[in-house]
Formats: sequence, structure tokens, C-alpha cells
Amino acid sequence: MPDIKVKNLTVTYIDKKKNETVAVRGLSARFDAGTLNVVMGFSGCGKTTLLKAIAGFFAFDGYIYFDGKDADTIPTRKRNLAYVSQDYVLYPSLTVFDNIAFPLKTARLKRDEVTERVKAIAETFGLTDCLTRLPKHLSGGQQQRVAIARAMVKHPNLILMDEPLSNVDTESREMLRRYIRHVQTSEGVTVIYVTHDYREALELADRIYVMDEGQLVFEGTPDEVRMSENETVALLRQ
Amino acid sequence: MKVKRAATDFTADALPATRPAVFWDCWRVRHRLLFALGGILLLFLLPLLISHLSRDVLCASVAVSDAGDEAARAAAVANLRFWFRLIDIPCWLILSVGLAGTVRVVRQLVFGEGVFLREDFFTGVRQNGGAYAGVFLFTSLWLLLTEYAGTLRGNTGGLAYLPIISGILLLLPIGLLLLAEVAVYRATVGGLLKNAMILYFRTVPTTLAATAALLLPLLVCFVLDIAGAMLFVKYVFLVAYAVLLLPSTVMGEFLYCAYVFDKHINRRYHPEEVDKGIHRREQSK
Repeated sequence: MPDIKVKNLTVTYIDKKKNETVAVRGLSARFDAGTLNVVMGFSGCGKTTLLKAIAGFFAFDGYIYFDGKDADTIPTRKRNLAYVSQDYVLYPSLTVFDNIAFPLKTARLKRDEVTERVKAIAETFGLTDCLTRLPKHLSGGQQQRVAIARAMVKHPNLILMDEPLSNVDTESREMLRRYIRHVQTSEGVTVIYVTHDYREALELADRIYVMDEGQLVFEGTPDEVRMSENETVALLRQ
Repeated sequence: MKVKRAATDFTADALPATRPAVFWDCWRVRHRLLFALGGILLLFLLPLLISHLSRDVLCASVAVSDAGDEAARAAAVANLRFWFRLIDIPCWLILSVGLAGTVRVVRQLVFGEGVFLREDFFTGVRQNGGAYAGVFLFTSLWLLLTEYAGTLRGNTGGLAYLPIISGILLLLPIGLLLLAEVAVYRATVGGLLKNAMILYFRTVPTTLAATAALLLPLLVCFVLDIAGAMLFVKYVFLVAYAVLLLPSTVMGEFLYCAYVFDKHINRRYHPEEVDKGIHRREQSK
């Protein structure tokens, strides 16, 4: 599993009127292999932009390294990463089975292997009875489980999660956090998880990175975050 | 892309608990797949449809022509029909290939296993195409015999109706069970044929009713012919039926056969196959 190193990362948006907005500003951070890292901050601080830059969705200035290799030398499709957003992005006309199987079918895996892996991941996420259903038949929590299962089924080295539980009801959120933690621990995959929820960050993280106005303002373990007197951290605590 | 969501978690209790429920559930959830399958099946049915359309047009033009007397025209029509039955033989074989693939996809669908349309279709053709081709070859030869017997009706009385009656009462229902068996069990065609015969004689009323469902489109065509509808109406109906309803018909027939197999074969010899694709309420307790 890779460790991810970000060095002097700057991401600038240019809108239609050619106005520039610097979303991430000279950020440097290291995300250790096999750990669950939470990037926290208020809306608009650049968390999602950081995630998308690592995913290869945006051009950027600076450097991103996957296990010491420059990301520019690795095409996005070969980074073996999965991206889970808050909007689930499930295909409404495909069954749960087909939604989860989609990345495996795209990779042209054999039928038997696809079936075996989908059934295994469905069992892990408690979705076995839902495999023949369409997404619209499932609750929000179940839909997000499908989205996460789809992300996990191809055994990625890195999972990027952009506020995946923000559209999920409270009860399902607790369960989904446990699933995410369990799967991350058992698979040993590197996770970078974005949230604005302070409690969620403390509950999930091995390490927390706090951003404000495009910059990294604090990083540490959950205990260090609890004890921190950093201004942004204090505001997030409230 | 916003997806609708249910207010509560989906649970196993909402899964279909009977074979009719499986039918309607598959229709509700996977009708797009069934229509796609219908489109594919239509391609394999086209040669037969074109042959029959050509036959109908030619026969109609001979029947209304001025050439010869009525008896000569009737003989010419009978001759044309016979030759078209010969032309139909390869058309039936082409259809058998399409059906072999379709039944495999339907099997995956009703048994609740993942459906990989292209892969499953070709698996069906590969695994079952031979047996299906054999059955349809037999069927096409039987139809040829029926056509020939039709020309003898005046001379042999009731005997001329024997092929058509035996076809409806024996060939079709036994063939239905046999074709479903081929898609489910790995055994010799001879062994499966023997099983199919035994199963038929144990379930005559219900299997005949299931077979009747297969003949419904032919009944509609017959009614259209009697009513003097234009030829293209009949063939538009058949094309629409093939795309919209034929895979569903295949699904319904397969579910009926699965019920028969559970009752007479699986409970004794393959208990792990019983109720495949059904979620009995007891399972969730």
C-alpha cells in the first residue's frame, strides 16, 4: 500500500471570467501507508480540491508522490485508487450487483472472478440480500454502502473519500463508520477521508490534518487534536 | 446523478417468495434487460419471419392470380408451402441458437445470479446450442411432415391431423421441459429427454396450460388471418411480440419448469437447488 507525499501543492481555479482562485496553497503533507487519514476543515478550505488533485482530476503546481514515484509519471487509471464522494454516484438502472461489479467488468475480469468478488464484498457490507435490487429500492445508508463496496471491490491501494457520510442519516452513519474502519484495518489500505465533522474525525482517524484557506494549519493524532490550542481546531471543536 | 432512495432499509423479507413473484419482480426491476434480450432474439428470429412473410406473399399472389383453375392454384399454394417448410429448417436452427443464449440469460436472472448479458448469452449458445439445435431440427422436420400431411387430408381423413395433434399434445410440452432441463442440468440429451417425458406425464394438465401460453401469439396471428387483416399487421405484431414479450414468455416458461423440477427432481436428488432464486420467509427467521 502506498504512502502519499504532497509537496508544495498549489491548485488554482480559473473561472469563465478568468478570475483566479487559489484553492490549495503550498500544502505539504505525508499520508503514511496503511493508515486512515482525515483531512478536516470548514467548507471552502480546499479539502476536496486536495483530494481531487491526488486523484488526478486537477492540474496542480508542486509535487505528489505515490511511494516515492512522481504522480505525473503515473496515469490516473494506473494509480489503483478509488474515489467515493458524498453523492454516491450509483448507476440508477443497474442492479446493486452490476453497480459493484462495474469496475471489475471495466477491467475485463472473468465472470467467475467478478461474481466471487462481488458476493464477498456484498457479504462484508451486509448487501447480499440487495444484490438483485436497483439503487432506488435501498435507503441512503445502503446506497452509500454500495458506493463504498464498489470502491473496495477492486482492492485499491488508496481510497479517497470526500464526505461520504454527509448525505446519510445519523443511525446509518455510525454503522458505516464501523464498516469503513473495519475494512481499512482488515485490508490495510491507505485512506484519505475528508470531513468537516470534528467528532467523526476523532472517531475514525489515525492521523488528522486540519486545513484552513487552502493551507495545512495543524496535523497530529486524535489525542493531539483534542489537546491542541490551534485556532481553527478550536473553532471546529465548537 | 441523483438517485431516488427508499425511506427505510431494504430487507430480505421484501424479496420475492414465490415463482410468480419472481416473474413480476424480474419484470419490474429488469425489464430493460428483457427488452434488450428481445432485440437480440429478434435478430435470430428474422430469417424465419422473412421466410414466412415471403411464403404468405407468394401464396396470396398465387391464390388471387388468374393462372389455372382453383384446384391448380390450391395445388400450387400447397407446393409453395411445402418448399417453404424446407427453407424454414435452417431458419429454425438459427432461432435455436438465439434461444439457447436467451434461456441461459433468463436462467441467471430468475436464479438471482449476476447477469453478464454478452458472456451469459454466448455461454448458453456454447453449452446448450447443440441440444437446442437438435430439438428445433426435429421440430422443423415435424412441421414439414405436418405440411405434407395437410396435402393428404382429402385422402386420409382424420389421420392427416395426427402430426399436428401429436405436436401440440406431445412434442411441444415435452420439448419445453427438455429445453429447460438442458439449461439447468448437466446430463446427456437422451437422459434429459427421458426425464422430460416422465415429467410431462406426471404434470399433463399444468404443462399443457404452460404450453398453451407459448401458442398465444400464433392464436393472435390466426385471428388476424381470419379477420382479413393486412399481412403487415400480423408481422408487425410478431416483431413487437418478439422484442417486448418473447423473453418474458421464455422467463415464465422457465419458471414453470423450475417449479416442476423442484417438485419432481430436486427435492429428492438435488436439495441444494430447491427454491433457487426464491426467498422463502422461513429463511429470514
